[in-house]
Formats: sequence, C-alpha cells, structure tokens
Amino acid sequence: MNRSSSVVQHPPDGSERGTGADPDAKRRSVSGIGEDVGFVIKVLGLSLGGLVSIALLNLLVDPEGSYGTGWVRPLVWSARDEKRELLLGMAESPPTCLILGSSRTMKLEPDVIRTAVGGRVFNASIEEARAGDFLPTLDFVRRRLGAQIRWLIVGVDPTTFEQGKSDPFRVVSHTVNYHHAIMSLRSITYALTRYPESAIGFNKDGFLVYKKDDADLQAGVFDLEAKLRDSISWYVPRHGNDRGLSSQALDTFEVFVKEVRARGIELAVYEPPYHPRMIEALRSRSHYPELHEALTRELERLASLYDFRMFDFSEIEAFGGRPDWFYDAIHPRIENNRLILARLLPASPPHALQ
Amino acid sequence: MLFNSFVFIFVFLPPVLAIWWWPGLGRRTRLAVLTGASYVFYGYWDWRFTFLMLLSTLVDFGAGLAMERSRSQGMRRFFLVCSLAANLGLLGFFKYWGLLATSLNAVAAGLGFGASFPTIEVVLPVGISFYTFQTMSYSIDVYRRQVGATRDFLAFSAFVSMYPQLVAGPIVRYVELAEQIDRPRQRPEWEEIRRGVELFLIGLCKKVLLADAIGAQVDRVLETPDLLGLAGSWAAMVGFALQIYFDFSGYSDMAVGLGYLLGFRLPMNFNSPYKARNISEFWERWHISLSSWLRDYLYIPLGGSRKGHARTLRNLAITMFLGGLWHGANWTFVAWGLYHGVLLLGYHSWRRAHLPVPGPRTSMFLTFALVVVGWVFFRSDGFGMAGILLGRMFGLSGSALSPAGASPALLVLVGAGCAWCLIAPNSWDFRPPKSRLSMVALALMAILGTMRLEVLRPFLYFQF
Repeated sequence: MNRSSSVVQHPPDGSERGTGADPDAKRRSVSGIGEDVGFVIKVLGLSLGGLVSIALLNLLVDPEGSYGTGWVRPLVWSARDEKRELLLGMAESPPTCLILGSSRTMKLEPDVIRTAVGGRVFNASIEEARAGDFLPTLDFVRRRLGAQIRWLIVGVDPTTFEQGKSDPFRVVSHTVNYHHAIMSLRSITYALTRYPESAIGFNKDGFLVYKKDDADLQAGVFDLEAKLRDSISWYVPRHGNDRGLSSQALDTFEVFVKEVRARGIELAVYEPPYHPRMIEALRSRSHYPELHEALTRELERLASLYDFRMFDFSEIEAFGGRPDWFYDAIHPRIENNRLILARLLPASPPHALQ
Repeated sequence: MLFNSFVFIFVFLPPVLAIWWWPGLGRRTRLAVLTGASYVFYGYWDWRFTFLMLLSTLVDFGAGLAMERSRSQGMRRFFLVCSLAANLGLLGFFKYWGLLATSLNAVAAGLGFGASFPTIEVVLPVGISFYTFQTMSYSIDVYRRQVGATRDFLAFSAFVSMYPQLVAGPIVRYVELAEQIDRPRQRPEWEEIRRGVELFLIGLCKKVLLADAIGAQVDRVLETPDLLGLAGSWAAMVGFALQIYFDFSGYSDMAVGLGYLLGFRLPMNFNSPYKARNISEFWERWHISLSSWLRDYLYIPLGGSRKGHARTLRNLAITMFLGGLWHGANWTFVAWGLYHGVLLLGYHSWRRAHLPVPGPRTSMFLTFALVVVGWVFFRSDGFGMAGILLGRMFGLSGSALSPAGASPALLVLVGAGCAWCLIAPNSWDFRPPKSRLSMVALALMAILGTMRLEVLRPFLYFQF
C-alpha cells in the first residue's frame, strides 16, 4: 500500500475530473467532432450490418432445424422425429409398455423389460424431455396407434421440472450466435459435399445405440475420464442452476400421473443416476441438493397419493451400481441400467402380459 | 442484468441513453431516469434486493445529514457508528452469516459442545460488497469533513445505484462523482461517446472472447486437480490468473465505457497488473478502487506506516486479512489475503534491509509467479483442493514436468493471454486511430463479442 499514490486515477484524456464540463471541447474543431460522429456511426453500422448478415445466414440455413426453412438438411439429430417414425412403424402391433424420459433413460433396454412384464416395449425417451412431454407422448401412442398401455417407466430429474425462464431473445440469441454460424457453414459444406454418418442411432424398439462409444468400449479404448471432464462442467449448470422446481411443471406432472393411474396403467418413476464425480460437483457448485430434495419429496407425495412405485437411483449406491459403468457424467451404461431395472421391475408383475 | 447479455445491450441500454441524451430534459428528470433505470438493472436479478440498496442509501443519506447537523463530535461519531453498523450488519448477515455459523459449529464440535448455530441459507445479493463500501466511504468522508453532506436524495440515490459501477465496481467515492452528478451534462461529447464505445467493446471482448474461453478450459482441467502434472497445474493456474484478470478488468472497462456514454468519468480499476515488478506495485495496479479504499479507510486509520516497522507490518496484515475476507465468505479467501499480506511484509522488510533487487524482467516474472500461487487459494473450493494444487505445482507429487491435464487449447490460450498481458497496452492507454482499419477492427469486435453473448457466464466478481 503506497500512501503516495493518488487515490484515484482518471482517464488519460486530458480532461479535468468532476468539473461537469470538458475543457477539451472548446479546443476541438468542428471537423474533429464530425470525424468522431462518423466514426461511431460507421462502427455501429458495420457491426449491425455484420450481425444482420449472420442472423440471415443462420435463419436460412437453419442448421438446428429450429425454423423449418428446409433449405439445407439440419445437422442436429432429433430423437423426437425418429421416435415418432419408429412408433408409427409399430401401428400393426403397438407397444403395451413405454419408457419415458430424457437421453438419460434412452439406454434402458426394452428387451429386459419385456422379459419381466411381457408385451411389447418401446423406449420413447426423447432428448431434453420435460414434464410437459409425457402426456402428449402417451396420447400420441394411444390415439394414433390405438395402443393399450399397461406399463409406464418414467425417468425424471430436476431438469424435467426446470423453471424454463422465458427468453424473449431466444430467436436473436440463436441466430446471432457463433456456434450456429459455425454449424451453418458446416451445414453448407456437407450439403455441397457429403454428410457424415451419424454417431448415434435407435433400434426399432427405441433403444439408443452410441455407435462410436459402444465400438470404443468393445475395443477397450473408451476414455471415460476425458468424457467426465468434458461433461461435468457442461452439465453442472444445466442440472443445478435453478433455485427451485417449476410449480407449473410439477402441476403438469401431477396431471399426467393422475391420468395414467386413472387409466389403470402401472407406473414406476425413478431418478436416473449421476456419476459420483458429477454428484460431488453438483453438491459443491450448484443448487442441486435443494432441487433433488424437493423433487424426491414431491415424488414421494405423488407416489402415496396416486399409488405408484418411486425410486431414487440418483446415486449409484442406491442400486449397487459402478462408477465405471457410465458414458459420461450423467448417462449410465446398460450395466448400471440393468441393475436399476432389476430393482425397478416387480418380481411378479401384477399386469404381466403374455 | 449482465453487461454481456442481449437484454442489456439491445433492450436496456438504447432507451436509457436516448432519454439521458434527450435535449431539454431537466437535471432532476435525468437523475430520476438514471436512478430508476439503475434500480431496474439491479432488480432484474431479484427485485427484492432493491430494498436492501434503498435501505443502505437511506441510512447513509440520513447519517450524512445528521452528522453535518450535529454540533458535538460525540454525536457525529454516534451517527457514523450507526451508518457503519447498518452497512456492515447487512454485509455480515447476507455474506458472512453462513461462514460464521459453520465455523462456530465446527469449533464447538471440536471442543465437545453440542451447541448449534442456525446455518440458514442466505442468498447473497449481487454487488452488496461494492455498494455498501461505496456508501460507507461517503459517511466516513462526511465524518472527516472531507465532503459536505448532500441534501439532494435523488443525486445521492443516483450515486449509489448508478448502473455502470453498481454490481462490480469500480468502487466510486461520492467526492469523485459529486460535481458530475450535481451538474450532469446534457449529452457527452462525441469523442467521449466514441471512447465509451471503444472501452465497452474492448471490455466485452476481454470477457466473452478471452476470459470465458480460458475459463472453460481451466474449469475442465481443474475438475480433477489430482490428475495434474507439474506443468499442467501451472498452466491451469496461469490460465485462472488470466481468466480473472480479463474477466474483472473487462467488466471494469465496460463500466468505464458505459460511464463515458452517460458523460461520467469513473476511476481506473486496473493498470496492467501483471506488468508489476513487485507485490506492492501489483496492488497499486490490481482492483485499484478497492486497494485505495482499504488503504484510506483501514490501513491509514490503523496507523499506516507512521508508527514504526512492527506496526506497519501489523497494519498490513490486518488490512490484507480483511481484504481477503471482503472477497468471499470462505477461509480460502482469508488465506489468499493473508498470503498477500505476507508477501507485502516480505517485500517491505526486504526493501528496508536494502537487499539486492533482481532486474526488471526477473522481478516481473517473480511477481507474476507469486501472484499465480496466491490464486490457488482464490480458485480452490477448500484447503483440500488448494493443498493438492500446490503439491502439484511444486512437484511434491513426483509428477516432474508432466504436462498431464493441460490441454493443447489451454496451453495456446495461456501463451496468447500471457503475451497479451505483457505486450499489449492497457485499455486506458490504447487509443485506436480514426482509421478504416480501426473501424473494421472495432466492428469485428462488436460482431464477435455479440455472437458469444448466448453463453451467459456471469462475471467472477459478482460473487463477492
């Protein structure tokens, strides 16, 4: 601490501070002011022009398929479209059991469930599923396919009930966006050359196949450590940023549960597991502990009110899982999922279908 | 509301500036608009916190008037104590209650007592550390008769809440802004507007293009500090040193730029701190408004360097302890402050003993290395992580020169960031000429900065 240094330093522009008037202004020539005006206007004009051009490029190319321009094939994969097509392909023999949830439940094996409860099982999990997705999916299967659903397995976590703050700038932020601009350029390049093969796909029963990761696992070269590092910092804010669960989403979920139980459908709701390192990061850097507590409390309330089975498998200790049986911080591999299903499915199901 | 957000840049700022610049508007109307806009800016996070800011404003405005009207020194002191108690009480409750309660519980448990202090979850209002220090400085200055108490509540509210510097500084003193607020100009000169735009864009790019990019790599690497090698751990911590510098100085540049757009001159907060050649110089260049606040309202009142070497060292230690605590309710911040206190003690003792000083480049390098070591405490979640990182950085883990954990992207960013800090002029000294090249460069900065706005990473200093 140097006592001799001045208390505050001010911009080195020659003006006196705190006088309320800039003495330089008197000396400044009219042409100098004109230059400044022109400079500012041209900088702002160029910036605005550049941003509008980028927005137009992203809108027209639409690399995420958000605006439906359809000029260039979207680059992103959407489970929603693929699963709808797969379900429509089952119109002849519609499913009797559905798995609902996000990408975290996509590796729940329909085959294992079919063995336990019988019938036809479809994994209808979709990426970034929210509470409001469940009832429309169930209605689609029932009404379009005429399916008689007997069993439902639903995976939920705090993101299912996230507050979903309305973002009035979503269109702007999605179009004037570095990531989208790169995707647009890639999209154009692929359209002019050749599209690469997708790294993921679904079986006919909706079960997810990670083509590359599963091949790496088979070859013994899968690098879980790198995946964890990449995914933890990415997922922590998404799973623990909110300070509470959305009451609207909770109400929507209750409506769904009520409807399901009113139709006599057997229901099992569970919280899918996080990798222990993710749990540790969530606890130290997010509001996850409060969110998880609130979610578990709410699920327990609904379970006793509507008589369904509820399981908190958010930590692997709850079902005897292993930390190396993960694809990344939040996506369990089938080995962990089989342990989950062993606990989740009843030994002698009340509605087993032959 | 964040400066690096669409809502601030495209929705909040244009109408506020348009009204502020509107010809013919009276002083009081413009101050009311500025105050109202600043409350909207602050309330965008959580409207309930605006009442805290209003309370702090009312307390210090009232304390200032009461002190000025008091005839006895005792009464003046009484009103000053009321102001300090209210401000420190707010700060203590919202920022330090959790730390105090958990620490007392740990001590009680250690001594075998079952006493349990309630550890209620208190949400930290954004920027409370900044505006309480700002209002306290006003009361202290009035008490010291260095500034007259204002009778204009609107002007005082505008001073406390002024959105450019509200949530993360610079910590502006009333004496610095009093005349500017008393006589706000109708519209800044075009040269000032140009300067404001330049500084805002420089700050925006420092934040979203440099700090956030480096921060993403650093976060990734520090997920698993126990896997880092010697070189990797240094790369990570140098990366954090760059991240926090670009983040905070970027915010300050934006704040000063926004001040220019309103016609206000805010003080400099950073002066290329990593070019410092000793630790004392570092503190004259880093977060200048805080270090000068601590110097004038804490270090000097404690006796400064006037009462012998031993007292000087004690005063430095107390000042740096509280400076560390100001940064956050965690003992790691206290450790960071004390570490810098020890460095300052060492530096002053070294100078006093007239020991030889290395050349300028070596001094700069050593100072930077010492500062980087200090950032370990600042960045770590707890002493466990700090211990692991320090062990890795000083080769105690037997990892030799292993770059394990340091990604090529981090190494490139660290290299580029270091070069920037050592070579590039400070934002305040950087005056791009009015050429076409500057025009295109600034437009490009605006475009690239805006394209990275979507990833909303709050400024690091918002948590303090």
